[in-house]
Amino acid sequence: MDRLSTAEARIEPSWRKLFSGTPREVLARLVQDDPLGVRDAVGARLRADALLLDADRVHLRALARISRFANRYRGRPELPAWIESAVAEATQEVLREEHDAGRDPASAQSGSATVFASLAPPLGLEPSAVRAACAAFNALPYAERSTFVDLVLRGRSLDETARASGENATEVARRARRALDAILAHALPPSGAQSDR
Amino acid sequence: MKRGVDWSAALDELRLVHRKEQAALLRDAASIACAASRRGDLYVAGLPEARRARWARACADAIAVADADDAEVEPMLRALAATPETRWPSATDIARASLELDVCVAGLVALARARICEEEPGEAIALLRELAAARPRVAERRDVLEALALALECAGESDESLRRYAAALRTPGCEPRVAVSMLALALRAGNATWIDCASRRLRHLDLAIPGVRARFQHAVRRAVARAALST
Repeated sequence: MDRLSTAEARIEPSWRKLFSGTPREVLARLVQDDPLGVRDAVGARLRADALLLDADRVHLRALARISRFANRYRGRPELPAWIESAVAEATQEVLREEHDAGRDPASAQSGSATVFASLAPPLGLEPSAVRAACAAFNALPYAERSTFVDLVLRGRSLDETARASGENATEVARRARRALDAILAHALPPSGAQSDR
Repeated sequence: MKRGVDWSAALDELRLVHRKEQAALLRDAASIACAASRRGDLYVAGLPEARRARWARACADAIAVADADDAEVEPMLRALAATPETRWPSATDIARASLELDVCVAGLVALARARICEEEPGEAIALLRELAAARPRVAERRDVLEALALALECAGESDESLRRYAAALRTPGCEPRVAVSMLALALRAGNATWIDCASRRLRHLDLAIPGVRARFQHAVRRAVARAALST
């Protein structure tokens, strides 16, 4: 939000110029130095919603959506709010696509899976499995996702997380466990396949 | 230090956004085509009036910007924009054109609704059952379950229709019209449990909220017309 406020102060008077022309021309301006702070807005959205998504992909989608719909922007709502709504739409679109890909192993192995291709080998996993695991995680209720992110990815202690959420530690641990189970169920091969090795 | 953006990837993404926009416009067009038929008007949850009114303008804008970007424009969308609704192709053809651009749950629901309106509820039911079994996301689950319940009602399968209506009602954000449809069918089936379930959902409906009364009355009119058709 701070980044957007700064960006707004800097570029608000010139948004008309930034948004003039075809979507392709707008996009060419937006990819240079990110004048609207879209990358930061994407990071903030993914953190706030506790989502495991390819941030580069959401960023590209948000830039493309902003470029496409720039011709409809008339100064209201305020630019940061308009950008945030474009980022939210982009996030929802990518979530939908990942959810569908997570259900369909064929499509999970194709398309924009580059982040999973680089993330999976160090974990000893298949990229398609990591992608399906992230999709399964993202479909969980927010409370389970955010608890898992706090405990496992941000490394906060159980007590600290429990205090912040106002829940008891047992419930917090249960939530994190449910999230972990959802991830493992999709990331690891079935036990039968493992024992065949 | 800012990370650079791959220009060719950004252009691909822009083309994808154009494609998805056109697919959404074709889905809306399929819904408009459904509403033009008697069965579609009764058994297909239609496009909200505001979106319907905006369709032609949104379509013209989408085509103009895609042309300006040298992006492809789906020929059927161009044809629909230039043709009176009365001469549009079938809702099924329009829905299939949308799926050519973007295979997604909303597109498949649009196809299923088109099959209902073209008197092929069996095909719609098979497609929607498959979609429901695949555990779609909440927003899509609502549409899938409502469309499935309506398709089953259309096919005379009241018991499963009521179960699907009830499942739709349990989905967050479900519209009151689903409870109206369910209540009407439960009353016809004489099923006290389902009557109670649907009426509980309607008990706190505030008709004083702008727009709610009109939508409620519209839902009642459609439910009554469906009841008249089935007797």
